Amino acid sequence: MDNRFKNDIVTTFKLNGLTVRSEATKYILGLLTPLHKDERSQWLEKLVDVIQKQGLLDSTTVEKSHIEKAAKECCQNELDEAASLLNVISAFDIPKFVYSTERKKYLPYESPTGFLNLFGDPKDKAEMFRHRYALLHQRTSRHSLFTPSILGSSSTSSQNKYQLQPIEYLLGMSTKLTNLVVLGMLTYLTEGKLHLEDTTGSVPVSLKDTNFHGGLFTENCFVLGQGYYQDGVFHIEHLGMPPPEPAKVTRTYFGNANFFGGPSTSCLKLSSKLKAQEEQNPEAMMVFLSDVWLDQTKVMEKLRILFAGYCEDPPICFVLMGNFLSSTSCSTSSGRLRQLFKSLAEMIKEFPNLVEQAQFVFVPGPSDSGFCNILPRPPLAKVIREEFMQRVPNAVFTTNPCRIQYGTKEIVVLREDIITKMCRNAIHFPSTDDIPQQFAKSLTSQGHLCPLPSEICPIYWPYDHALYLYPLPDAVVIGDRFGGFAAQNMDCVIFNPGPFSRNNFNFKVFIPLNSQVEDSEIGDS
Amino acid sequence: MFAQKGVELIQELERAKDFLPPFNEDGVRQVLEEMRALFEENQRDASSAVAGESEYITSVHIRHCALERNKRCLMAYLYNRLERIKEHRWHFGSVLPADIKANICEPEAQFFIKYNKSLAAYMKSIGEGSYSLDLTQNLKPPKNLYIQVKCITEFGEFETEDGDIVVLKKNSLHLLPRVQCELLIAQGILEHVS
Repeated sequence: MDNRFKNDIVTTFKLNGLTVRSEATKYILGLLTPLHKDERSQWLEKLVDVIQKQGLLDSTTVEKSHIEKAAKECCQNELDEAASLLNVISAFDIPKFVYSTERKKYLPYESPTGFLNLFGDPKDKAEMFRHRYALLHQRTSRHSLFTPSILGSSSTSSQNKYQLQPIEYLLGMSTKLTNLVVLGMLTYLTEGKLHLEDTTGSVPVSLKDTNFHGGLFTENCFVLGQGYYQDGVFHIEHLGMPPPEPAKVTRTYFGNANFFGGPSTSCLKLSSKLKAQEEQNPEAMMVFLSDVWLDQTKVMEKLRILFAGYCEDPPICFVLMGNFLSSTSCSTSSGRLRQLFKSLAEMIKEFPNLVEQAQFVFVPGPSDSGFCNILPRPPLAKVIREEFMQRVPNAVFTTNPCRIQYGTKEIVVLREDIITKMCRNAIHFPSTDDIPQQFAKSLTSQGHLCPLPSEICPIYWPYDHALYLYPLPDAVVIGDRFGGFAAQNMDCVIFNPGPFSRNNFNFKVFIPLNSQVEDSEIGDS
Repeated sequence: MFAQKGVELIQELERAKDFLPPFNEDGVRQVLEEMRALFEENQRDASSAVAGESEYITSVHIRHCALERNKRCLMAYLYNRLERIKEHRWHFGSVLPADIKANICEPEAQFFIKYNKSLAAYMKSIGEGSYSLDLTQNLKPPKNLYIQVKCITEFGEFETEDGDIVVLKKNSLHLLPRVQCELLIAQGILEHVS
């Protein structure tokens, strides 16, 4: 009997063009023998199916480990996907994709050592900018302004076409060139002299008669410059941000690879199951607070009011961003934080509804104790969160930045004074008052959370991809010192809850289903 | 010239006769863009032709021919690629080598898996009882049932259909049933020594 079944296994795999190792056969035998005869062949076929779909095989030989993985996946498929309705993704788990210029595709990055170093080589710094450039270059050259005109279309649409030139084209010319369009990064290569740089070279620029289009232009930000080249200087007449692209368009080009991160291998945007779950609960909301100073009694009082208010109808999650102390960190602040988190947990415990149904997410701020402020920043130390977790198990202490996936919605959270820093370091301050809109435009255009030089906002070079906004998420939450706002660009909502402790205790409520942002405040009384 | 891009696609495929070139997504997209432009122009002219301006009819006709040609080129491109992918199933077995895998797009990979499945289902159905016929074997009539093979890579234990276990070590010689080792030869694990 056993022998017959064993033969069955071998032939089934063989007909599918696979050979099984003898230990793998034994493993399957052990798994499937207790089952009924009809069920066995069903399961066997399922296994083969999964093995082929996984695409893990690099030869036709099936090892025991493949079977183990496939069996696990078979079982997972049986379960509901409910577990992945809400996911908090740490910045260090975000998959790294690299654009391959030859194949015009994003491919998963394979590090030669098999893992990413936190502190990279000098090479990694160059790669970081090269990858950012590759992202923006492919996106820009696909934009309708730069694609070659189509034969047979009406003449009007083919008139407003530009050609993107690499900088080496400029450098190789001795005559005056007019009406050039160049994509490059703004840098100060020599003291006080602005250059435009791309992968082929760099050229000094003159911004004397420049017409600045919308956005906040800072050093290390990529720009599209239009102008003329004469005597070794590129005179920019119009300076603009590279055109952003809605996530929908990005996905038509790059398929449903999961750029966002999380357990699923494919993008969850198209999951009808999750969409249905989302729609079942149209009033689901997420509460975002920034600068929650736990050491101030007033803040704690207000938090109590907040929790009491949401007690009856708990939101999906509370996202509390740092800093959690009003003073800068010193040697005693870890112990202090631990105490404060403990008392916060005690307070949350008074509302059993919240403990059971809401998720608590904690994002560390720039001056919280522990690590130095280089992005992405690891979560708060275990010592601090231990006692909190015992009391409120449904809590996640995560990195800064982090990503949250709720149903089919993607949300990126960052606690950093980016807006303030970008305004301070802009080479040209926009004349309009609508800074939030300008900021939103810059972020979506750059496809990056932090287009600033490393001395102002340092980043671990190999983990730069954790700050990408490409494809654009549904919402970007920036915890900034700047007052609260909400702006929209390219189907992406960018909002700042504003400092909770400093500004009348205001916060923002995000409703994922229709991407609505609601202002809320508790008031100072 | 209209439909130039579509012909280029076909040419590209034809030039790479002995391997599968990467799926030219850009090319396909450009053809589709051209078709969209042609269609829009045609729609506009056709409506004025309906209104009674007969001089547009010729241009509508030409554009329509270009549309049809584009469509045929795209179909031919996709169909011929699928044919080649099918061929690979018979040559390499159900797991494609990495360099071919890199050149096919997602729907093509899906097609390959489905083709594989239906082939396996068919092969299972033609045998009787537990015995089934593997059509991918003996594509050419074999001269003898057993062949001498040399192992090129360190493979480890290999189980033959009748349950015997053969240890395949590097540079070892074996006399094995041809049917059993054909797949391993195709994968480059064994080498036929004559």
